[in-house]
Amino acid sequence: MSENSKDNSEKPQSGSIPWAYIYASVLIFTVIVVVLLYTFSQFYSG
Amino acid sequence: MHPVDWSIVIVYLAYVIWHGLKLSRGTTDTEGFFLAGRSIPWWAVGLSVMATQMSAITLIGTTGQAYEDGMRFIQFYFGLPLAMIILCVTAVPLFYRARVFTAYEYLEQRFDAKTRTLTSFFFLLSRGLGVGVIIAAPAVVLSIVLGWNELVTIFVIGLSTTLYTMLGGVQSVTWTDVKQMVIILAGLSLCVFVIITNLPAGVSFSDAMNVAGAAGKLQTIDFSFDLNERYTIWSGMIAALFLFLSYFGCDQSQVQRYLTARSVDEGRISLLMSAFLKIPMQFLFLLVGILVFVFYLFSAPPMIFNEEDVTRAAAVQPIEHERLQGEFADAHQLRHLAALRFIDEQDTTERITARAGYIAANEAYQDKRREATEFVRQTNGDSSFSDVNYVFPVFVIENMPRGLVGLIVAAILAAAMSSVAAELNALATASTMDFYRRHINVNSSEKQMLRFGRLSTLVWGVFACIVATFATNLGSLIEVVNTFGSFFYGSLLGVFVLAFAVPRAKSAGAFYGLLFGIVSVWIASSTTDIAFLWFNVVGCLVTVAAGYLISIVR
Repeated sequence: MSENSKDNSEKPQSGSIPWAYIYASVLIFTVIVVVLLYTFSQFYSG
Repeated sequence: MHPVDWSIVIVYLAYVIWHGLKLSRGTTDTEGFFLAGRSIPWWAVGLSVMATQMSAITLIGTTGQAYEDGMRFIQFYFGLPLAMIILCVTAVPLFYRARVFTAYEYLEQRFDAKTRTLTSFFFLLSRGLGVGVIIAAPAVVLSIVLGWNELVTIFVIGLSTTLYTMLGGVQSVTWTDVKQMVIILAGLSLCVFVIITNLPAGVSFSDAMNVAGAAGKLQTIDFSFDLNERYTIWSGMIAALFLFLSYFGCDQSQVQRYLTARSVDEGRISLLMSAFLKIPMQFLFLLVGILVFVFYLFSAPPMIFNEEDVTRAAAVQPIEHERLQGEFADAHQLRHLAALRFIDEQDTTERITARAGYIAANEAYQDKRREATEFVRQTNGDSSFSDVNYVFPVFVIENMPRGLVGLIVAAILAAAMSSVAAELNALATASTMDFYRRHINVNSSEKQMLRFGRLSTLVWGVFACIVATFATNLGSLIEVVNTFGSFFYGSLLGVFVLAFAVPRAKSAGAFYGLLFGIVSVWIASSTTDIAFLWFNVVGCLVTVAAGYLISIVR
């Protein structure tokens, strides 16, 4: 194993990033995108 | 192609190879060759993850599918964001902290060597054949559309990718992926811009979407629950979720991407990048296909986009071909006029009539196209014939301006090469770490492993080219390879579910559970008509259930 990787492994891994909020924002974003797609298809149904 | 387009393609190929080779200089140990010393920033890993997933056939197939079938395909990606979150919570930290080179190495830590070897073997088998198909599919299309020699195209794609992957390892693969993603997105964005700015006078973007929508091309969501229907919101949210969990969490070609990240957090962010961008990006690809559909409402499309096959059929039955060609041209003309009337009509009542007339004209046009497709199938004796993958390349070659043609062809090559490079790198890693170091030369030195890694990249690259030459002639081989992959994917996911989430699972349960899973998918595929996406659910659930029961009993 190289020195480089050893250094990386000792970096602080988690704790400072609010993962729960990020995951929730991914899901909310996905729901918004799906709703927008549905609205788009309905709006342009001719 | 015009010399300007040729220059763009040649400059692209030369730059990618030169850049890949340049990055090979710092690669001196196995961790550098296979994992880039875990030093790649999250955004580069994220782009590499997306580039690896998007092969050339995804690029041209998706646009062609939108032209033919509309935007329904986008539902396939609805399960991807949730899959990424699940993997960020489970697989990424476990793999990263286990300090493994391959996903299958983790299975030895959790179960035993036999489970690791079996899963890695299945990966090598399915991906080794699959990478040949990844090369073959665009080579066939480009050789027919551009008149390139098929064999030369295969070896240009295959060997140039093998060269920089062999010398530079994952470092070269990742950084060339980044450039290739930029080329792909730039090419398609420009394509959208050119089509929109070249719509006929009096036809706005809104009009274009209205005619596409009236023809049913913009239907994005299908709420019906039908296991035999390939793309519904349920197959996208449930069945595709299993597929993405398996692909991003258990397939070495993707696991290796995020193992190169600087930390667990950066690995997670790289996957979440796909979660955010994949659906909008796929929408862009499908929008290109929709715009091609609109373009051909106002200018004459080819009856069949694969000119080689239709010419062959026409030579056998020239009178029938001429009749179809004439009727098809008439159907197009009627649809053209109906679309213009629909767009121009402002009065509400008259507009409803014009809309109905346009829909009927479009149906009649589609019927003629289906009749023409059937004619080619029957005359050439090829029941699986479809020209969907030829729609976008033919449109680009015949209608896009100089320069953009070269950029799009470079983008198609880039999509193929980025996937091939990641696959070759993953195949070499699994061969070296799961077989050479584990079984053949247990006490191998860094130098020996690095040499074997490079040699195995070369061997897999040549093997892929050979498979590709057969795949171009044997349509059924592509089907066999894809079917085999779907047999294996869900079951492999089941083994990892046992490893991550079932503390009582034992090695015998994982090993035999995997075999049970594969057999169950084979039975499901031979006795039912369920869409292939659901095989992943079947394989995973049977593997987990069988693995759990065997673990309890033994």
